[in-house]
Amino acid sequence: MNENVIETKGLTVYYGPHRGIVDVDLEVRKGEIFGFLGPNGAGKTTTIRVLMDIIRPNLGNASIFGLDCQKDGVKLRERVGYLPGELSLPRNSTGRRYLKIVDSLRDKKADPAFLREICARLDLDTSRKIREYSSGNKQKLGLVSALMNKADLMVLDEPTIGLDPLMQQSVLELVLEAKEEGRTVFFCSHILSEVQTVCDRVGIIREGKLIKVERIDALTAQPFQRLLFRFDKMPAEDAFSFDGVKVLSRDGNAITLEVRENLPEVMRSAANNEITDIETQPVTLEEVFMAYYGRNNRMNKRSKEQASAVQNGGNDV
Amino acid sequence: MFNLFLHELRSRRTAILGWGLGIAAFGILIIMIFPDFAGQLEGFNIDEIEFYQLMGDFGDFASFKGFVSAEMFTFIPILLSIYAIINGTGTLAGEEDNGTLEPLMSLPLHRWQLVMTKALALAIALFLILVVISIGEVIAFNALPAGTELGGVEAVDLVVATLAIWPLIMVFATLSLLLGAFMPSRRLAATVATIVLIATYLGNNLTEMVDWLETLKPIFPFNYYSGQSILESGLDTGDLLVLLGTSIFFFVLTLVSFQRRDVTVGAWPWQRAQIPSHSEA
Repeated sequence: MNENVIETKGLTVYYGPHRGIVDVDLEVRKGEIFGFLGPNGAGKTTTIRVLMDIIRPNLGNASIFGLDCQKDGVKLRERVGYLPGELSLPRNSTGRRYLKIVDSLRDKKADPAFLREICARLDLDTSRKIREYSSGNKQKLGLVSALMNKADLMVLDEPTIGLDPLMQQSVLELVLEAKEEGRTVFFCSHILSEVQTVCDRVGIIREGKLIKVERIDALTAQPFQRLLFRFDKMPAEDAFSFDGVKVLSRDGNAITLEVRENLPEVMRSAANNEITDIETQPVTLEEVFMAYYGRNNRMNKRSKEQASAVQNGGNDV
Repeated sequence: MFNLFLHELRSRRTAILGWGLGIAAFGILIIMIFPDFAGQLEGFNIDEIEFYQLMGDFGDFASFKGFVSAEMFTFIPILLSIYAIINGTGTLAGEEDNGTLEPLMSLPLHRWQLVMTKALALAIALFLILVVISIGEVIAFNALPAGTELGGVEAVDLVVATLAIWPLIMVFATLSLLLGAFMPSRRLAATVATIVLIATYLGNNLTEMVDWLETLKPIFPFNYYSGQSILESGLDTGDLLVLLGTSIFFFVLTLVSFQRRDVTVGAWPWQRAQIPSHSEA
């Protein structure tokens, strides 16, 4: 599991005076699903385009399977399936013909039975002209072209964009199946819940710099409990005044607590105050992500607290 | 690779038929109206019309050679050069602009293979358009009334004069490919290519009227194509070689330029070369 499929060192790309990515050191291990997170313009697509040798870095180098992305691009791309984030396909071709061209340029490595299977699972009719496709169907065709040759590495930039929830689920299943077969997936997505579902590790890129690489479970681990209690009647202000316990919110008949110590006392106090319901609230990847970006939204305060705890407790992998 | 080539050719199918049949209809019309015009044009000196002075020397306009040269072999190269520019800039720069190049470039394909395949499809498409036009001309030529004075021109001469347009339009096709591979956008590449087309066309024809342009004549592609002279004395191998050599030169520069291009960036090469001094990298 220690073999790196993707490696970048000091990767830097500038678009004239504008920053693309700066000094990105990235390692993606064989057989993992690596989530690459960042908002628009953070540098995700730039990184991917360097990996695919579509653009060249100003500084640093990138390799896939130990092969230099520029010098050995053709050789390494034989083993890569790529779905661009901004997918455009030839409008006048049929889906089937497009897949045939892609497959022929990969020396016909796609198994026809597997191709039929993924088209069926994604409910894609390849006999139609691409110009007749909806945006969702174009996305499916792009996915099929990336998946069909069972590449050792799949680079998927926003793979579920434009798909309905059922299809999103199918795509995630295909990604997980690829991992089960020992293949590697580089997974960019804005949908953090799906990243949390499928990815083993994530890298967070901000303003062109890779600011965090961490296992998902470590990133969302928390050295405390976050508990939400509901009561028939709101308890007194000091009902949970214990060491290591912080009231995060009091809203209607609900109180949210961050409990680091004295959990039995908290539970006893809750019971004494006619509790009607209790919920544990795990930290989500979305909260961690928002915290790294310091966005001023309704989750901000809580997110910052969670992320602060995560950052203090977690180590880079 | 062959499938990609077929796809490239197939994607030009409509253009081949549209431009081919459209221009063929124009050629057919010119040939078919000649018998009616021949008598009326007797003794007419086209060189007295300023517009035609800008289009070159057509000899005796009342003759079949002069008439088809002035009316057909003047406009067809211009029209097809426009198509060559549209399609030439659309082939790399246009596909880069609309995003269809990126998925292709992620496949195990050398950049030179991609350019070569697309350029070959473009070249063949241009040739096929000329073939369609030639077929139309031959049909019209054979439909001319018996006794029409043709000055010794045969159908095959029209075909040769038409197909000889191919090296000329290949110059503009490969120039457009080059500009598309070098410049930031298709729009800019098409604009520059169109300016070159107009400037070299008018420049070449104005050499008859402007002395100082005479020295520039060798750099004008239109200097190396004349329907009139092909109908009179056949193909000039030297002219063909100059045009083909220029096309090959532009094509090689396209390969070099595209090899170094940062696709999807839309910038001049030198804009990507330097890191800003304020960067932390």
